[in-house]
Amino acid sequence: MGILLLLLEEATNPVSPDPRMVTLALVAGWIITILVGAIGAWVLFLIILGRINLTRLISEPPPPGAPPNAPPGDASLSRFQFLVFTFIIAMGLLVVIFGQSPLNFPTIPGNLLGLLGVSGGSYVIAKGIQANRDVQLSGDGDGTTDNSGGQAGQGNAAAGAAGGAGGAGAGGAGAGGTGGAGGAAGAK
Amino acid sequence: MGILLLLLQGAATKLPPDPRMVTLARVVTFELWAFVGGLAFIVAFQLLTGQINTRGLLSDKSGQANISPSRVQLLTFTLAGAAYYFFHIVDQARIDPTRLPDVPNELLLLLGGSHLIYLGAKAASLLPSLLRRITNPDRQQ
Repeated sequence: MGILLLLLEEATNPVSPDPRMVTLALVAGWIITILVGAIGAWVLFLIILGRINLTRLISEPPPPGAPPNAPPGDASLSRFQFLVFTFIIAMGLLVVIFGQSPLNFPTIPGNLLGLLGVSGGSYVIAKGIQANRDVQLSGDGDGTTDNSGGQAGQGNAAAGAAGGAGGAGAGGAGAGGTGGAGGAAGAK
Repeated sequence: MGILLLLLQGAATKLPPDPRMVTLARVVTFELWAFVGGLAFIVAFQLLTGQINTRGLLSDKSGQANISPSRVQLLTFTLAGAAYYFFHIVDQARIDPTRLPDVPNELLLLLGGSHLIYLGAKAASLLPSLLRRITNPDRQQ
């Protein structure tokens, strides 16, 4: 992709626009456009056909030990708000990019990253709380605390890693640390 | 796709508009709008028709299935804040189309507080079980 960038820069150089480079840029641009468009159309097609199942898109996972075809858990509000903000910001980005001529990638303000941090951090912390509650409930019910504790600990570690990776905002970073600590405790 | 946009931007700014590049830019515009818009439409449609599970979205998880005020307020502030910011983007795009608008600090504080209330209520629901475990540790062994 870097090479493609260099080629296209050369092709669009106002001093010496080499027609061959312009052609190459066009060919590469069309290839990328068709490839990305085909992948997007295929994904949408599979969703419409039901081959990609969105039923559990905002649901909590079934409790540990449940069979694979178990009904989904309750809907999760933290997942839902994360979904809403993701769509809003993605569509806002498209509005800004395609609302100007020539096309330009906009500056992303720091506050927006903070908003995503709040949203993502809340999601990760809620996952951690939910995992702890599942552990306690299973422990109260049948005494399988040790086993499910390990599983929940792994869940927390994954949530912590996600929070750390996506932690542009303070909330995300903090949540990542908390989840990671919970995961370490659960693994012990 | 972001790189492709940057390339198209470069082509459009440094050269007189090449009709072939303009066509490519139009196709990319249509393609991205179709994908993101289509995905949003499908998700919204499936949410409204119940194909995506929304059972228990507003009920607390203490086993009594009551409507939880903390969830209701979070849902309200999330939808209101998201709608406000989206229309803010659309408005600002006419004035300064080179950047996404800042999120107002008030909105950030409002949403942060709303999330804190939600998470606090969720964490507080752990307390009875936690207290049981502390006061009766033998039961766990």
